[in-house]
Amino acid sequence: MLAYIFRRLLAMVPIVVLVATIVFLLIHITPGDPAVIMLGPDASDEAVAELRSELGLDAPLYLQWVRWFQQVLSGNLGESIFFGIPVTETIRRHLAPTIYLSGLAILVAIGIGVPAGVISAVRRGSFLDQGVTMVAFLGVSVPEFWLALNLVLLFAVNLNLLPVAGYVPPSEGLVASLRYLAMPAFTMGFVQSALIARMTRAAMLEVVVQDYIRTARAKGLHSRHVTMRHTFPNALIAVITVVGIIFSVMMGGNVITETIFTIPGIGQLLMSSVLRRDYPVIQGIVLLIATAYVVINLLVDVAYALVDPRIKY
Amino acid sequence: MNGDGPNLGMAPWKKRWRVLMRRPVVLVGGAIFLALVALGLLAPVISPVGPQVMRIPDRLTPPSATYLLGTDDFGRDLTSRVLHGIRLSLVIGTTVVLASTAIGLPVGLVAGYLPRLDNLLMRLMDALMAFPAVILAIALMAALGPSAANVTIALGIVYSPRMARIVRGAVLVVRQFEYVTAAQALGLPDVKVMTRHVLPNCLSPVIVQGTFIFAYAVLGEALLSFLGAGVPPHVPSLGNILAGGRVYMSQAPWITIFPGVAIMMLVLGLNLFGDGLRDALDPRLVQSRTG
Repeated sequence: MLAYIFRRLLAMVPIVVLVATIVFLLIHITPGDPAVIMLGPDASDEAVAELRSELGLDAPLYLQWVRWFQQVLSGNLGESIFFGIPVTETIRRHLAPTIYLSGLAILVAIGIGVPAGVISAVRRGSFLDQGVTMVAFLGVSVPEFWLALNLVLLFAVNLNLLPVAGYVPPSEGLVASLRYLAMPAFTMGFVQSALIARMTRAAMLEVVVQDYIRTARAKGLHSRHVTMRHTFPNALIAVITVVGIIFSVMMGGNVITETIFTIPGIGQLLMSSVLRRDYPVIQGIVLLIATAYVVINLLVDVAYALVDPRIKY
Repeated sequence: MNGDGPNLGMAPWKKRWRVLMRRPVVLVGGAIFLALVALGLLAPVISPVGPQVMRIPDRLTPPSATYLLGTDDFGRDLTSRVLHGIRLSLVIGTTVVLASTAIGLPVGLVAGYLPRLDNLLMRLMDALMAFPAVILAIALMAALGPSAANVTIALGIVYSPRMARIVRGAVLVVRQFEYVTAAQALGLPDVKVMTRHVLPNCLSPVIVQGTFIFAYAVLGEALLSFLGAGVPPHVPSLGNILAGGRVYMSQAPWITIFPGVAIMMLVLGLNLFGDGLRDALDPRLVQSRTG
């Protein structure tokens, strides 16, 4: 197991290098001079030249690439042009709300998706199954930001039950913070629960045709017992995979919900940095999220072995 | 797969067609999508007025006989704008599918057929996949600048690894069939074996994936435009109409409701159709359903 994790960590290196290279190139595929774009059209020539040398843009491309890697490896992602503080510090300040929101949203997604998937697999072909399938299709088809806007209109504007937008950290009152995050977490969770429900259903249906399920039934076990003890645990692999994927998708999905609900997380920071053309911050966030994705994938594979003793690495 | 690979001749196509037509969701999905395609194609003809015509006195008019879907804050007819928005979404969806196929298909084909290049190409695709689609699209748009063509480029790049993976998976299966070995034994060059014998037998997953990428692209355009990183704000795209209506949500909810419904129906139709198509084209499912 440890050897496997070590091998996988080694295999991560080329992917992360490629990811970092793509991130590095982002600034260079920009048509025109990045320094001019960052400073705006009214900037003086001296200011542009100064920023160019500050960013190292006057060096040849391969040298810039080497420098960028040296920086990244030493944990230095440069300095935010807008805030004037290190990018790592800027990101650190915005990390907590994103992780908190994603965690809540995952809970919502699993809470809706897994039971819906199990029920619709057990009652395959029933009215309930068709209903769940239909809702799941709506879930993957509805634009997330549109759902968010309609929730705001209903629960905040018309019913006045929840705050329109904003963020309160849990340290300043758990109930208050949950009230603020209820709509964003539901928006993200609902959209993703559709995927979980469909994957759970499909995985359950693959398992129920196995011989050991027939044996369990033949032993006269109660059908609920068969479902919960024999079928579901064997369908868990697929569910874990999809939850892993969803967690990384949520880092991206956060951009939408965090922007609409003005939650000061990574997503909102990314969006405002894009609008401000704060390239070092954009690069830092994209690198962080992509690396997180690779790590989450590794954790998912490790989790396989934990839930299924047949899988050994 | 019950070893039934070689039986995938012409007859199963009839079977598949029957399976396809027997599933009501496919018909419903296809019908929804085709209806929206018709609306989009005919947008310039059936729109009551131009999508940019402003009638300030009529601003924020609720849906009525004159303005079927109401008007926006500039008094522009929402019916015309949504119809043109659907049209643009269809154009972007189509071009994104073409772009992601143009990149992903050759990569997947080569990676699946030539084991030497497999690792290199697929790790490259993995690196691209490591970026959540939204993040990569936003980052690319930040670099490229807002325009419909750049939305297509950004989304095309974002979704090409999905296409590459699907094609590679199909090639790995097809490569083992006897007719491929036979073609190789005849001394055909790799390029010919790939394009004449392998590729034509890998097209059904490409078509299925294409419907999903189309759906993602429609959602992607709406999202990017909504965030202000997509099509320039003056262009009537579904995302832009939604973004513009956001401020007036409580006074004039129709500005956000109708483009949202249009996006949802477009994506729902494609998802239902693609899902049914996937089932119909999966030989395992054809076997089990038709006995």
